Order: sequence, then structure tokens, then C-alpha cells
Amino acid sequence: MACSIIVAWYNHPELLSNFLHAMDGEEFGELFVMDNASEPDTAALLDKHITAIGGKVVHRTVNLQTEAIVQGIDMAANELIVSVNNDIIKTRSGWLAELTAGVSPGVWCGAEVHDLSKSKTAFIDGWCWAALRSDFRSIGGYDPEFEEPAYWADIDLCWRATQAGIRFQQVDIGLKHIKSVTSKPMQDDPEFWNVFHRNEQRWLAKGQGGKGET
Amino acid sequence: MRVLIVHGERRPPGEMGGAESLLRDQAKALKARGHDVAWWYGQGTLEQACNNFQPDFVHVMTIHCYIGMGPLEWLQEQKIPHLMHVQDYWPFCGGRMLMRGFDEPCPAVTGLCDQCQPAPKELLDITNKSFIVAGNEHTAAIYRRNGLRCDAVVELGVDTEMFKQGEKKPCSVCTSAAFAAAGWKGMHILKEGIVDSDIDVTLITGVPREKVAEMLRAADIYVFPSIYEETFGLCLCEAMASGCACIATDVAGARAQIDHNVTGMLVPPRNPDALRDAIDYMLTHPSHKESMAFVARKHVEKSHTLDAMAERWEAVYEKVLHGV
Repeated sequence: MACSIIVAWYNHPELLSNFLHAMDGEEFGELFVMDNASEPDTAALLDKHITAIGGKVVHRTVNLQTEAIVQGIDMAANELIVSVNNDIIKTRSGWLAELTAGVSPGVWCGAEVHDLSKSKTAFIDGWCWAALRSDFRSIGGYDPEFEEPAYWADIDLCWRATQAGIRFQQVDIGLKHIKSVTSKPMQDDPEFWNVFHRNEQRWLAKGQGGKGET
Repeated sequence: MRVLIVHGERRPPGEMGGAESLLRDQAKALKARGHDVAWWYGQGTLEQACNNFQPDFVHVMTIHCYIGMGPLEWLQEQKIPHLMHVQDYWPFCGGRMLMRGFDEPCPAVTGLCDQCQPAPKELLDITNKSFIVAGNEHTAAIYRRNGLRCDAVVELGVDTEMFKQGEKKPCSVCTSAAFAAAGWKGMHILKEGIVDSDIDVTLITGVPREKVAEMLRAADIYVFPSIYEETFGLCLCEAMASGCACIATDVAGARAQIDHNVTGMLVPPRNPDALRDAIDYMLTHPSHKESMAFVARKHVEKSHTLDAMAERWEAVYEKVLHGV
């Protein structure tokens, strides 16, 4: 089944070469890079290099990760959706086919799946996951009430997915996540933690239970 | 189309530097697309060459020394369709290279020539009567700012069957230049940058082009330390085609080829520490190094093959001939 890959991108042009290398040779139906209001230099590089590999760059005016992913999912022509970060390194070819092979109604596949006992949910790490769009929409997608960029929206999504009977399956693929390239600078900002805790409160207020997971 | 390529170095194409190597590749590329190509480099007169070959178009380059401006003036007087592919900056810079000593940037790079070594005014006047082509947009901007018209930009290409990825010698570092001793190539800056380090750089120079290709195939990292506003920089393109992870100074032609941190690294010119730091980065970040080399090679395969270059020249020839 052809897939549509959705990638949210905000600055960090130095990630582009590893990303392009990761995409090379992987058979995707569509590639959407959602440019979240990057600086003009980065936007120009995305236009040049993403279109060269057959992808499309969607230039947005705001930097909102989950909103961008939802927009990309809505634009996609394919039912099979792959959401992947831009801070990735390919270690083995064929990762896309391996990731998507197990996706079916009620089964989402991801590079990392965790059991978040404190949040009482299984968790599919947002840097690389694949699902059917109908599944994603059936549980309401991401809750826009969670302020970006401070997490919890993904835990909330996973909680609603597991409550709806969706199963997460971890797949060993040849893709690595360069942790903390994009998140570490944010986490150095005190305001990030203000938003983080507001989102945590929102999570608790929704009655999902559980406690903070970081 | 019958294309006569004119150059003024009085040696057959391929016997000298980058501009001259280009002539040979250009002819090969145009012939592959069905055109008839001949060269004139001073054997007999240009009028004789045109009478014998009957070109539809004359492509002039490097005509500023030895042969002089006479052939260009003759083409203009005879209204023979032609273009002038300018190499370097000789129409307004008496030193040709926008160099004011090797450690001081020339004001013409970002502003206006201050006439420290003025070229004879007639060079600019004569050249400005022809259709002018530059090798990259940054050089075109310098030309226009300093009174030289620039009607088109054609970025060059390399023979990707000769310059291609090979088995790399891990962590090997090399550089190359036809005229490596020329100060504007920046080899003294590179040498200064690595003098107290463990870095070993192989200089590829003075060998046949096939040997250059063989050595680049094996090279892991390539350094282009030029301190002159290269009008393209074929050496760098060859290295990118060969799958080298490239470090280049941020001069016109290199900037046109390298997207920093995507297809290579750009560093300030005349800065030995910056060159060394970039080499260190490449050596200590193998994943990023390999991905940059990969994307660079892909970029050349897409946009800088001989065929891609020939297609760009064809479009310019049509523009001159028919105004399209």
C-alpha cells in the first residue's frame, strides 16, 4: 500500500543531508515536508532539496508541530500515513517498508513503543510511527487544546488510541532518532516548562489519570 | 547546430587548467546531443576557421590574453551569432582575479572595484558589445555591479562517468588544483591551517585528469581553499561527483555549488583555523559527513552532468539566435 510521509520541519537545515539520505531508495507515495515558518534560508533549502526527491514542501506561517502533522494528514492522498521527525539517521535501507508492513486497521507501528505505567497507557514515540488515517481520525486525532511544543498531546493521543482498542507494535527498523537536537534548546527555556505543566494539568483534567511522564 | 568554440590560451583544450578542461568536456557534451563542434585557439585566423567550419554559433571563452580582443571584435563586426563566456574578472580588473594581496579581500567582491589595478577601458567596452555569460549568480552580480553586462548564467557540469564514487580510504583528506602554486588557490592558507595538527592532506596536481579522477574516487574528504571569487570551481564539482565530503571557502563559485551542512561545508576564505575546524568536524562526525557527500553526489547527478550543462548551453544559444 502506498504511503504518505508527513514531516514537520522548523529550521535546523543541518538535518537535511541525513534526512535526504534516509529517504533515498525508500518507496513512498508522497512526501510532505510541513515547513513550520522556518527562516528563509532553511525554507529555500527545503524547496530545493525536498522537491528534488519528489517531495512537496508546504510553507506554513506558524510553528505548531501537531497542527502541521494534521494538516499533512488531511492533504495526503493515501490512507497509510507515516509521521517521522526530521532528526533521523538511516542505519539500514528498507526501513519504510519494514515500518509499514504491519499496519492494519487497529494496529499502529512505530520505531519505539513504551509502556507508560504512570500515565496508564502504551505510548508510540512520535518521532516515527505509521497508521491508517481512518484510525487516526476515528479517535479524533491530536487534541489542539494541548499547547505546543510541550508534549502531552502525544500521550493524550496514545491514551485515546489504546482506549479505542488500537494496538501499538514496535518494529525494528534501520532508522535512528538523533535525540535532543530540536527538543534540548526548547527545554533550556523556562517558559517551556510552564507550558509543559499546563499541558500536564490539562491531561489530568481530562480525567485520563496517571502522572507526569518525561 | 555547428558550434565553434574559441579560446585564447594557444594550447589545445585539456592541456591547462579548469577553463581549458571545460572546453574538452563542453565539446563532448554538445557532440553527445548531436551538435558538430570544432575548436579555434589561434591556429590560422578566426575568419579562416569560420570560413572552413561554417558555424551556426561561436562560443568564446578565455579570450583575454595571447590572442587579444581582435577575434571578438571581428565577430561583433561580422554580426556572427556568438556569446562570450567570461572566466575571471579581467574585463575590469587588471589583475584578473579580484585579488589585493592574498590576505586582503578586494572591495569589488561585495562592492565596487576601486581601480587598484585597472584594466584598459577598451576591454570592458569591447566585451560589453557581446552577449555575456557568467558561471554562477554571485559572479554575475559582481560583473553587473562593476559595469560588465551579464546576460545569462550557465553553471557547469562534469563527466560523471569519469568522476564517480569509489571505495573510499577512510578519513583521507585531499585537495586539488591545476595551478596549485598560484596564491589565489589558497593552498598556503590550508597548509597554515594544518601545520600543527595530525591532519594529512594530499595535493592532487600535475597529473593527468584520469589520475585526478582515480584519486578523488578514493578520497574521503575534499578541501577547496580558494581565496579568489571562483567563476565556478570545476575541481569542487569533480570532488562532489566523486562522493567526497567537501569543504569549500565561501567564494562565488563554491557558494553556488555547496549548501552549507547539506551538500558540504562552507567556511570563510583566508581563514586557516576555519579550514582546520571543518576538517576536524568531518573527521569526527562520520554520519553527517557521509550524508553530505551522498547528497552532494546526488545533486551533481541531477544538475551538473555534462548533459545538463549542454542543455543549459543550448538554451542560451537559442536565446542569442532567436531571442527566446
